[in-house]
Amino acid sequence: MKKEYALALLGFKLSTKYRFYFLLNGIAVPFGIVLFYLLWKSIYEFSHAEVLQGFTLLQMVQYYIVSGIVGLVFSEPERWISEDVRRGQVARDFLRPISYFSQWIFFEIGINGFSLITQVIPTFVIGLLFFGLHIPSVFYGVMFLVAVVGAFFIDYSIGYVLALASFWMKQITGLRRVKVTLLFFLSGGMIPLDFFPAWLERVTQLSPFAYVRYVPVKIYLEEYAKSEVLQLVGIQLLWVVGLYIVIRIVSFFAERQIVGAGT
Amino acid sequence: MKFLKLFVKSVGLDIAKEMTYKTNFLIKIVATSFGDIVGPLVTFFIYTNASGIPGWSLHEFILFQGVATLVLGLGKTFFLMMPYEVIEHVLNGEFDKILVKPYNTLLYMTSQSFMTESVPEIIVGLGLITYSVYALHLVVGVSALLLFLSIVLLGCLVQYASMIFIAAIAFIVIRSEALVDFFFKIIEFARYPLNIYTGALQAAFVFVFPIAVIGHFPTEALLRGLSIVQYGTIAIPVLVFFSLSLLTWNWGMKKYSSAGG
Repeated sequence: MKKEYALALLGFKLSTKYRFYFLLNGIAVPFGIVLFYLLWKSIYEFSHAEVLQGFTLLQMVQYYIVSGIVGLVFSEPERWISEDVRRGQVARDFLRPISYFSQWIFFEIGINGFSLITQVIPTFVIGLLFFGLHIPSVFYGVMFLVAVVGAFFIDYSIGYVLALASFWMKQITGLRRVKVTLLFFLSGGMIPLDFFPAWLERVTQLSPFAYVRYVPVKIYLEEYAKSEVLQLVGIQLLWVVGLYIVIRIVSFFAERQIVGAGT
Repeated sequence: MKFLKLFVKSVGLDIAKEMTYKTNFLIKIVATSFGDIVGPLVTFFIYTNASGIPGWSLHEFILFQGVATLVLGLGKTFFLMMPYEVIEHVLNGEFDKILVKPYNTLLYMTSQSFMTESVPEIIVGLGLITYSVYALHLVVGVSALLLFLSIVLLGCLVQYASMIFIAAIAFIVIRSEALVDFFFKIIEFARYPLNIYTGALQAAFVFVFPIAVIGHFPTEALLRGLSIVQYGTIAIPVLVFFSLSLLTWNWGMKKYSSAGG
């Protein structure tokens, strides 16, 4: 585990260099929560409704808080890899005694470790203190953590597939933007998926997107029966495995594309 | 005039840069446009599941979002890159080269900050505005249009001023780009009408950090018109905000010391 630990430490150390960025982003999250709170408060009052699509106002706010927390756990291997491909440094990394896929996963784990301290925990505490967020029971709490880890792997894998595209395209800033927008929208980052038209909600549930944000959040809020939770986490695991298989296949072809253009 | 020439040159350069990776550029355009359509889409979901946002009918709110998208798109296209350019030059120790150029430094940096990839936002904004004006059967007279355009300019000025603040801070702390991201998080408040906010926030968005001119007031001007007094009340804080940013810039320039490579 020494190699893996070293890579994670590298990610962590790199993040400390950008602590100002992490801190500001951490400060911005509560602002977002306040915005969504005020927006939905006005909508609930205007609609004279206690419950909209199964959400009370309080549940809606808690949805956005937990969603904000889950959203802070993320990875963007495509950002680092596309840069390395363009500079021709991937060749060097392929020679390391640890697979290319794993190298970046541990690097991202290190970054997320730093994010946990500077962003996730503060947001969580703010939610507990000011927005009536409650701590879930043991079963849901543990399953939430499992689902968040699953979400991290799915997010990482989608990013990695994009990163592999850079072996052909060299510049993937456009694809990165597609990923960010689609993932945020289809994972329920802007609005809970329950508000989507039935067909679109179905599409998101059949895609890996719902498992990146919506499902973990709903598990935290204890809105599924226990058997349902197990089933959903099982499907999530299938997505993790499925995406990994896709990555192995695409990697096989991508690695033959390297030209190593140099800096 | 010379700045216009510089600006045109920089536009040409940026387009040439984007054309190096044409597929990527096309995907970027699609992604940006999609990102701007997601907002109105969510609005539509909200209005089908609830009564919506108080005081705004569906099409009125889509008009609001079109206006905000247009103004934010203009800000991004013309001013967003400015602080990045300044940071880059200060970091590499190349800012001195710009100081010795026979141009006003701020105007020179601004002329270099055109971003082609944000132009689709302007087009999507205009599209949304056209659609909702048509759907609302809105008749916009010449005076209303002029009023609208002048507030759009104020909306651009607020964003320009914010970018100047961030660039000026770069002279002190060097790396201030995190503030740009922070700015974009805060500017989200401009995407919703003032009446959903509490009194203190409303006052803050009109008088302190006057981002209400980005979406709220130009839309109001189109839908309901504004009196002279109202116009003055929203314009003066923006001009003060802009003046403060210029003062900060000058102060930052004095503090600037060459960092070296």
